[in-house]
Amino acid sequence: MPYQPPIYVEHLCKYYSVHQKEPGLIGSLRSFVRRKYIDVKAVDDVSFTIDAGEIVGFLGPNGAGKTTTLKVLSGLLYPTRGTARVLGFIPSERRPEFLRQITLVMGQKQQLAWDLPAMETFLVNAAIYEIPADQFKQRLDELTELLDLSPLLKKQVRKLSLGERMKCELAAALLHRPRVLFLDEPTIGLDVTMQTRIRQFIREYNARHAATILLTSHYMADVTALCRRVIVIDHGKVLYDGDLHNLAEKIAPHKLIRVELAQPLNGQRLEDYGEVVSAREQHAALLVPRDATPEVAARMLAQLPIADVTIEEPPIEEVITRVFEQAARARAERGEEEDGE
Amino acid sequence: MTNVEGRRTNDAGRRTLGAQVLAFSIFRLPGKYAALLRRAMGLILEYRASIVIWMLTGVMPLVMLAVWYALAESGPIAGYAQNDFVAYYLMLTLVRQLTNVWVIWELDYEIRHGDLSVKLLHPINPIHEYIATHLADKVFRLWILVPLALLAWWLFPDLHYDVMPLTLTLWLAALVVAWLLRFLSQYCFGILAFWISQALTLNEMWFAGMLMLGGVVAPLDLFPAPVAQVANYLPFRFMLSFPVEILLGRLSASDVIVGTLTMLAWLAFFLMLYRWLWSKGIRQFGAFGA
Amino acid sequence: MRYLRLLVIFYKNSLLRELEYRVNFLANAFMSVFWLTWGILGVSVFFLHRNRMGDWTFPEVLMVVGLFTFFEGVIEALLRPNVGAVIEQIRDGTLDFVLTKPVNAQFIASLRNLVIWRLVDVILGMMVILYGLSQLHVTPTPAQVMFFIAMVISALMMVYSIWLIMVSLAFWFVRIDNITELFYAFYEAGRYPVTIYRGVVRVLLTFIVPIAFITTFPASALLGRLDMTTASIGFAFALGLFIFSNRFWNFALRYYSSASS
Repeated sequence: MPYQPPIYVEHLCKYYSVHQKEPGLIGSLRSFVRRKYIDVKAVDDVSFTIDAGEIVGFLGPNGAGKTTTLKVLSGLLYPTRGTARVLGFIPSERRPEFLRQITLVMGQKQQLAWDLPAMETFLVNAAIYEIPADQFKQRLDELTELLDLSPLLKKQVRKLSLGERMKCELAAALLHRPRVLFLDEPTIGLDVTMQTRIRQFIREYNARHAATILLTSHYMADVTALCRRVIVIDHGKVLYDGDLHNLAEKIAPHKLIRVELAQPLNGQRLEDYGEVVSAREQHAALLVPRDATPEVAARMLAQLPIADVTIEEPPIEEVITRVFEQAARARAERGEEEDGE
Repeated sequence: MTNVEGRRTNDAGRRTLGAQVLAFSIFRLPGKYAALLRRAMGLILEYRASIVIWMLTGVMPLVMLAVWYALAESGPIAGYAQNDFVAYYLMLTLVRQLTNVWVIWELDYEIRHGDLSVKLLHPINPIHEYIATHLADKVFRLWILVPLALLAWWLFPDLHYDVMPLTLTLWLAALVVAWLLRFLSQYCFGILAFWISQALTLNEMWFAGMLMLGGVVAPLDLFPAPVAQVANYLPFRFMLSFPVEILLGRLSASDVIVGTLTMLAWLAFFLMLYRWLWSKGIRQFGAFGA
Repeated sequence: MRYLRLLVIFYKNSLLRELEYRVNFLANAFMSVFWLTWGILGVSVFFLHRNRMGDWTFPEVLMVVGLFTFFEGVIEALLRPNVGAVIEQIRDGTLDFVLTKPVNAQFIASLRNLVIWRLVDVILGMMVILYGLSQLHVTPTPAQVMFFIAMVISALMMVYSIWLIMVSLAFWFVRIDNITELFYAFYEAGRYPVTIYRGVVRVLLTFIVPIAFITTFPASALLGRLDMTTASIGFAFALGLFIFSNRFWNFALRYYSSASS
């Protein structure tokens, strides 16, 4: 059979009709009598293909269309227009064979029964997904080891901390060893240690089982740690789809040179070399045009008392923000309306 | 041969008949129910205090008993003497406790808050989880009701019930169908939550109908003849009154047969209505989601 | 006066909220009429077989039905929305916002929300009472009207106090939502004049669960069947309950403040 990418999206559109209301008593009364509806284009002509084993980051501000796309791909929503195929299935048909091979983890919603230990839900999932007992035990052991679950399994879910709950949620979502994972904000609300833990887990899982992972997140750290490829989406449109670091090169034409000075400057000015981002005692950071970086660095090393120097990409957050700013400018030029928030 | 997913197929790649039958998931349900029931029982035990209170709130039949009992002091009403009212209403209370349904509140909430999404990601129809919780609740209620029923039997020795084996079997069957009717009809109203915000209100009216025409306000015999005639064929009767009528022994054999057939017809109707509404509802959910 | 102004603001906000859901308005108004009709039909079934319930004729029983609906409206519009709100606030820990406001906590907690459409029940109830009276072709004497008003006021106090006690219980039993359902279960007995019940039931309903005070006594007052003694006891009981509920609420509040971190 010819190779079918696990996730295939072409010209996907998802539009909603939402009713708008003005604030205050008059607005309420008016809306009571006659409703005004506007069309929201949550996803507007999105296309991409994801290959087996890839971990792809889906980046965008709130309301950009990330969660909507994930919901279409997992079968919860059906497209207004366009095509979505996951593992060869049409997601909105919600065939059991399809559902058995995917999982959608939503940071805000949980499938664990609140008043019972997580183990109870695992057992139910084992039955629902028809996991044979020996495989269940083996997978549970693996997940317990990777996520450090042993102290948690017998405690009531509502007595667990947010991070512990998230770990159990992930375990419940992965017991059936899905081939495709949709992770919607999996680290939201977690502390830094837990976020790192979850990231490590996802990486490990992907390495062991070659699962295809589509991940949305607010936290750049999630994306930088896990994804080589990102899809940037805003206002329902794809702004960029490709290597994360190439993105930096395309959008942010600067690199960051950090220097540690061996002794205070003697009449020299850092500004001569580039745009100074920070300068404190012995440490400084400058933005330098990408192409000029080797030359500037060489000059600085020759002319300044430098103890240490590093050359970095600008923070990814800045790059992404710039992508959105560019897109916003383009939209304004095209005269499109901004939706009020 | 076997295809990519390891399923048996013929040369054209279509599944063999045997594999198709096996794949029809209803045959694999019992195993899933065991797990669902186990978890449901755990949940029910967590909430046992609440459940006891819910049981206490089902006392309206006893209020009606108090009224009819007082009214029948001066003589029987339409063939029901005071003792008959006691027999009727005690059994009705039992039947009501054993057939109670609350699924619409869960369904309405989960639909409107988007929590249904989580259930929809599982390769099993959400209805089974709701059924499992209801079954577990019944098991728990039996624990309380059986001793209470025995106590009542001891306190009121001259209550007249027809306890022939055939009648009891029929009673049991009617009880099960009564629960199914209440569950399926309520579930159908719950599915309306995909479209409207007032599913609970509609259900309230349905419930009021059951109270009036299902035998809580008065035994159906006490309604004026034309009303009673119509009520005999409405679904409400089979949600509460019919099992009680069977056990009271006032029905003739032909009454029982006609009643049973009507009951089964309503069951078939609500099953089909549920399936149709659910498929429409899922489409609707997929259009707007949550 | 400040409290009056606050009340206006509370209720205006509640109205705004209600207007968001226009179908709710229609549904609520419809359900009020629906349940009243249902209640009257239910009572009519009794009168198919007897021409009196105890010593109450049909129009007289209608008055009790009217009072039942009247107070149900008060509960659904003014009291129940707040019980639910307080329970939620205790569960979410947001009650502290209420407690730190420079306004009497009981006032806010018990009167904050108004489901205005349920006041339709109040109006319908009054209409049924008047209809019942008209069918009897009697005009109550001023004394009887006074008694009636006194009984209605004591009933209001009683209903408010019972619900305030239930709210207070929420501080201990967080899963109390269905205790309020117990109230409704007992309240069902108030559809009919309590004097028709015999023996144990009557005692239970009059003194232990004072349903009689709420729906039967005002009707009796208007019909001239209530004697001074019972009326005074009723009023005193209601007042006592009112004071007790306030004490209990404060007690619960103290427990809450000392128990939570």
